[in-house]
Amino acid sequence: MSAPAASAPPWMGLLLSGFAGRRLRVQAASAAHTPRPVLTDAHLLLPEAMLGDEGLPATRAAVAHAMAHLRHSVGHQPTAGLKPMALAVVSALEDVRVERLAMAELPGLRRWWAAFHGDAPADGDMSFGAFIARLGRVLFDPGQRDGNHWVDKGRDLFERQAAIDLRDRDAFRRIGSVLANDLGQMRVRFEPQKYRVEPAYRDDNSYLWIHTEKHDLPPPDVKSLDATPEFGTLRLGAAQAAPDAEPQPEEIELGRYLVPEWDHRIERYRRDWCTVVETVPRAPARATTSVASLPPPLPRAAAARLSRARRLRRQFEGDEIDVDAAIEIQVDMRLGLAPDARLFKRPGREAPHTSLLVLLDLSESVNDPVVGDGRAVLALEQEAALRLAQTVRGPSVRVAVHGFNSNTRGNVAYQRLLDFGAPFDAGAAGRVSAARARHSTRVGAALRHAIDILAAEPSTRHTLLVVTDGAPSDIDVFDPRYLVEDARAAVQEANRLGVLVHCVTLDPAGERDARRIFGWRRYRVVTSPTALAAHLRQVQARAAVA
Amino acid sequence: MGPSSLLDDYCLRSEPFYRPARNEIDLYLAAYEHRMPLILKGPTGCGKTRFVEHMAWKLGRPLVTLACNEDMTASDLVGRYLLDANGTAWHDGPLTLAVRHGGICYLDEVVEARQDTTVVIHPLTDARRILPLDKKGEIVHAHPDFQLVVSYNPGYQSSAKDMKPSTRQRFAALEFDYPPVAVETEIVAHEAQIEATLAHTLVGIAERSRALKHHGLDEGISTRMLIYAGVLIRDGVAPRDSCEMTMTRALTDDPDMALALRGFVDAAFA
Repeated sequence: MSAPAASAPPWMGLLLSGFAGRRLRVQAASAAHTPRPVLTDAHLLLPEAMLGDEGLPATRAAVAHAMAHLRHSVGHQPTAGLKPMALAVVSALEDVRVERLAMAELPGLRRWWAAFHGDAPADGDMSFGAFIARLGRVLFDPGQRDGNHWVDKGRDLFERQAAIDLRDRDAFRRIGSVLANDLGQMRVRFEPQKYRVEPAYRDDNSYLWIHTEKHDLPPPDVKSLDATPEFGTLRLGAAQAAPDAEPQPEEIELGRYLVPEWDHRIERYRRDWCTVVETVPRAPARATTSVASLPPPLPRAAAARLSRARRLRRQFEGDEIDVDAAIEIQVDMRLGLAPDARLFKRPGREAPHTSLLVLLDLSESVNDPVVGDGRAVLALEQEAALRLAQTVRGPSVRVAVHGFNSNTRGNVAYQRLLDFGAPFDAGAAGRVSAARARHSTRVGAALRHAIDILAAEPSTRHTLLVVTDGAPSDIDVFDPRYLVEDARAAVQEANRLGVLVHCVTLDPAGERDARRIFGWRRYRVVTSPTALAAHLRQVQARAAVA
Repeated sequence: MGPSSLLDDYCLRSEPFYRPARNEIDLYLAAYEHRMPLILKGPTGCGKTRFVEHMAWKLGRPLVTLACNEDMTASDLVGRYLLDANGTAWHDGPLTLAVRHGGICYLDEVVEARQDTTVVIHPLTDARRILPLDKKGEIVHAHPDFQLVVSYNPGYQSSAKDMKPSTRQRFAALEFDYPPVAVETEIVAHEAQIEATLAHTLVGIAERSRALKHHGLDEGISTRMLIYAGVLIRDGVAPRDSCEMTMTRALTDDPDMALALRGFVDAAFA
């Protein structure tokens, strides 16, 4: 197996999204499949080789070039009528055109790109790639001269049109055809398999075209990238050990509960519609996770400790005089009333008791590896939940970690991995890290059950934190809105009971559903799953001050 | 002391600059005509406070501003008894002052105040227009010119607070957002006294940062930050340093987010 692909640092995605004005992901792709970056409507795939420590200038240039396409190119044009060579020439001119437009807007980009426009190819090199590179060079830096007739002609045609209107794509397409035709006359051969777009930061231009004819370049093999590294090698715990080989039942059933479900089409609850099967998993015999081996707890947020609101007023003793009380005493004295002697105030040391339930999505999809990280989403969920539990547990915060999945309405599995008040020891940590993911995501039923458990907690604040990787689904539901609306109804029930429900979703595509279900400021999209623990901590801290 | 002199300090001395983005001035005037209480909501640094200052100046009314916080009590709003040589004396709080003498009372970041504090404004903000001072045993009838304006920032998640429905239903609301590019450019150029082209570049950086809202940023770069950046550049600070100081570092501690913001800045300057 090949080494796990390097992940694309999150700032690249942020940079591209900011430039493009919408959410796009930057991902690493194996260099064997993608020698050049590949741009799609939702992604920018960068060759691994670009992402090394020295890669910042190259990736930055690639992100900026992708942004130029997204802003100024029209993607997915039919190639009808263009031969492969013409296609390559037109694409090269399009690269220059969009870069010019982008530089007009953002002059700093010239520096980002200039470093990659190096020396001219040798004069004797009469290959197609050399001609395109020479043309690209004189067009990038108008101060350069070349001397070759074709290159100069290309530059003149381009500059003439650029002076008229740089935004007229069709005109540049015609120029590309003319130049490609000339190259044909010059008997320059085009070998699609050997040709690479230069400089390396430019994408392969597959974004621009829809390939409709047989003799076109084959589109790059994007599919194969999804099957990146095998997951599991770095997972916590023993969950990945061959599941079918376990002789004894993995979990102990605690009870079955019937919960209602909201049907948005009839706007009624269906009573006792789902069966929640509550279980507690057996701790793995060989618990590989001890508390000591866990990653270090997260730094505590200072804000969680600061409790200005906890200043206790009108106390018999304290370190400050409560001016309001003192004045009232004086007023009472002058009015001839018996004053109340409590005139001090002191800061309250007790934070309110909070119960925090972390509900993990344990459906099949969380077994997918995180692109670029190599670990499964599940492993990250588990690690994040453990770190969070370890960090926030204390005298005033009770933490539970539960998980759920579903296999039709008759079997919504609800696993109590770590319970409120249970000792946080190797057994508990082992149960969390050994949880298996399978089946579907009927989130509403699980939410209702979790809310019931939380509402029974004696604390003053109740927070439910749901970690999921996507939209709810189940195999017996075909209306995509059904489970979303049901979950939304469950969250509203929670709000009425005073349980705050927050969600962290790992799937940017699920943002709309998350917003619908949890409300517009009760969810967060985490696109760098490695930072999940930190995000959970922040969400928890925010919920704590609510 | 006459009533006018009491609020003299609260009158604005010169016209505060305000460039309307839409028809908010007309809408405010229409609401003021009926002394309708108003909520101004919008992201931080988009001009809510400046707008209410501008309107107070335009209407020639004193403006009593109060920044709300969690420790604020109803007494801080309406007033309290204090001790003096002759015994106890009632001192009007800022809200009572505005109610008595016909000012515009502006409660900034009203959701920061506890909900039980803000209920004192209820009788003021319906047809009664009275302020009962229960400790003093007085009912203050609002001056005909009195108006209550509150502001809050719905996007700022950490507060996770909200107004009680019974409070918010008493208000009409104007929603603010960062102005369109051309208007924001004009504002930044005017306030920071810089060239329009530089202002336009700064606004472009802000636009890109605002696209990252909800993805690691609670709020994008505000108009106020752009003005800070512009002022420093005008005074000779290199544009990148100025943006680093007033935007990137001011906005985030997250190294990834800082790199992205730095990218927007770096790309914007030749």
